[in-house]
Amino acid sequence: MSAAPPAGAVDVHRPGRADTTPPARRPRLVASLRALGYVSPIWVFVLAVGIVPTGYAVWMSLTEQTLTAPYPAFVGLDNYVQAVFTAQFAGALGVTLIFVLAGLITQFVVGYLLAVCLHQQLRGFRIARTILLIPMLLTPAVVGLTWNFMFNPDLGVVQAIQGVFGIHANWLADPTLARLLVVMVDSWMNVPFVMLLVAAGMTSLPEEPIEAAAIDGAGWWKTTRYVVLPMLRPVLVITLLVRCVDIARIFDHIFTTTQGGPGTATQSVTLEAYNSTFQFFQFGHGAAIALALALIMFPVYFLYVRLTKI
Amino acid sequence: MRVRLLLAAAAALTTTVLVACGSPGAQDDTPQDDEPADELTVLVSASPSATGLRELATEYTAETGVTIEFVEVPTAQLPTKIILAVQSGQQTFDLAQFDGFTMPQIAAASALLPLDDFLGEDDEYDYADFPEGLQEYAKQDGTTYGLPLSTEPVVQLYRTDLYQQLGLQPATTWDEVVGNADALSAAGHYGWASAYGPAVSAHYYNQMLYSSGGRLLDPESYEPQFDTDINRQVMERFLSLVEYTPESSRTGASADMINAFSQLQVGQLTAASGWYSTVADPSQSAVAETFGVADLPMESGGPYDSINVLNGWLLGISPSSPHQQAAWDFAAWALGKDNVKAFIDAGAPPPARTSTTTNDDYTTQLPYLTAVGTAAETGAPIERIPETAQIISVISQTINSMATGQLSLDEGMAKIQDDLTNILVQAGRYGG
Repeated sequence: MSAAPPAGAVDVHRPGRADTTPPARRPRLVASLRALGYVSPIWVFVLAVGIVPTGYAVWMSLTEQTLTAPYPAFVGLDNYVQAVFTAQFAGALGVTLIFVLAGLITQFVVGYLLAVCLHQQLRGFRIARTILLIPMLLTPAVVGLTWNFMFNPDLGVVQAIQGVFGIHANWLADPTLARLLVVMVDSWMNVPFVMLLVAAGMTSLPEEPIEAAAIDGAGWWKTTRYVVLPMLRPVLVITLLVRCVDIARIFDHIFTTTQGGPGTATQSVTLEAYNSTFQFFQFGHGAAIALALALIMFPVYFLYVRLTKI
Repeated sequence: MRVRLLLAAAAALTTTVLVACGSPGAQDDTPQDDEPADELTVLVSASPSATGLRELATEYTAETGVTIEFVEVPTAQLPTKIILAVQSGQQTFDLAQFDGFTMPQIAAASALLPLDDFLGEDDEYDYADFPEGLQEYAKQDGTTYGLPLSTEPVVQLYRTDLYQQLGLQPATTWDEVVGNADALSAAGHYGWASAYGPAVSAHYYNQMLYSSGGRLLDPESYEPQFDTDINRQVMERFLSLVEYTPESSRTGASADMINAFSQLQVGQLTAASGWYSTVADPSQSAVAETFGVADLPMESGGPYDSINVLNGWLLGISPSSPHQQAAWDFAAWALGKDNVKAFIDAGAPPPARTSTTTNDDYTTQLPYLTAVGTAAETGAPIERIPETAQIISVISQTINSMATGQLSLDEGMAKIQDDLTNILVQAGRYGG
């Protein structure tokens, strides 16, 4: 029994033909090329906005690119040695981690509580939700400058309020208070984001387990701890990862409120990269610092990709 | 197989793009062929000098038909915009306002057109009317890259009403500054205001250091000088004045310092003379009628000449402008002798031509011009090397740490010395 050649297959035994493509390959090749045509726009997009800039940053971090040396010379890991493996970078990384940890705790606790309040749908909750979302819509630089003026130690409203209670504290001169100020500004702007996602997650929760817990005599805390939070876990984890990456890149609020001070107490890694690149024009150093932060954050990206199954 | 093919194609494309990106085209240093201009674009930063230029531009357009378009850029971003515009080969401006302090970086990037040929050919502009120190201020490594748009050496501002009440005289030495600060403080006023913030404090330390005969770096070897007695003494004195300073200035920038002087009971400060118009403006200042101007205090005894640090805006031309002659014509006209009064009327600090600082009408209108004239004769800018911005940043952050009690004087001085040494060794400027 001989199998008939598939449609479109070429008879390789015909005299005068040098084509040695196996019978079943050509349609597959055509199909592959057609598929390539369909996916190529997205590949071009990924190349343009992802791979090329990243590759260029890697290249920059391995070359000496300054104003006085505009033609890049390959210097291996020198930029990393000079800009990343330093006490200054370690300090900036420490500051960034403080912002990430303090910011996440603040934003999740406050955001969750606000989401619970919204979820109760008490009278006026729609107006409250609208008002609570306003900070998220504002420009970070404007927010930073406003808070900076509010905390002006001579003329700011916070100073006046502190004075009523006999408190005298210069938030911009004390390292701990200055860091707290940055966390507060960032949290004020981003708590609504957390609240929104958690509230959305809550609306999709089934009522039965919560009612069962109530029947079993569980109070608010036990219901939250053992029923609501486990069910909200996927939403919480994704929100946490998004905020984690966002806070690690914090820049505008620091730039407009403390300028990295007092001293270097609020100097984050991104501010360090900005200074190297745009103030000192040491492009190689700036790229090395930015890539080091990206590498440090890689486990978070990895987790995010795994959890969202992208 | 398909995956391999795709990967290979992607790799080849990426490599090609990377190689293309990594090989910037050679900077074309040859002068551009001049095209007739009906419009010129000027990069400016919000300042009284930019306001003066804008007001003159209207008159220039009426006279010549050439429209002047102004693009405003935040001060901190000016050098970046100028450099990136020229290096990317995109013609986004013909003229740009820039600070003399940023000239080493901009000139090193070949982002400014040398102006010596224009200066040599234009008698009407009369460059000889500028003191030699000011001509040097506009140069980098012997080449002139900008025309003086403003001259802003450091002057002393003091409250005439408070000084009269307390029987004080404007200080002529830094010891007298401390004495006046004590007296003002004892009377319940702020004795001093200087910006001790993490971005700018080095500029104010430099004022005191250079006028006391010290320097940041050895002028010959570029060795940092923060282990010398003079730098330590000056730093000690500079920090001793923190206790007399309003809180907002202790962590703030220059604007915070001027704001404190304009709104609070601050007795004295030293600042670039360009701030005069802000303090003298009743709409911005509560002390517009009650302050005076005096020369910067000076101390002798340091290893170098005691000098005033020169500051001020310059106006440069883009090397990639197709309208270089037209750009020069506008700049030379606007900053010429005939337009000095227009700048003064606009509240802008004029460029310190000798004919301006010795003109009685002008010095009556702007009392600080006499001090500017003296400073322009004898003053000089701080070290003009591309690493200056980084050096200023390190010193400012460390001074701020000392001023807010995070570092002791010893720790701070040692840190600055170490950090500056690292910067200069890495740059290959100092052997260590």
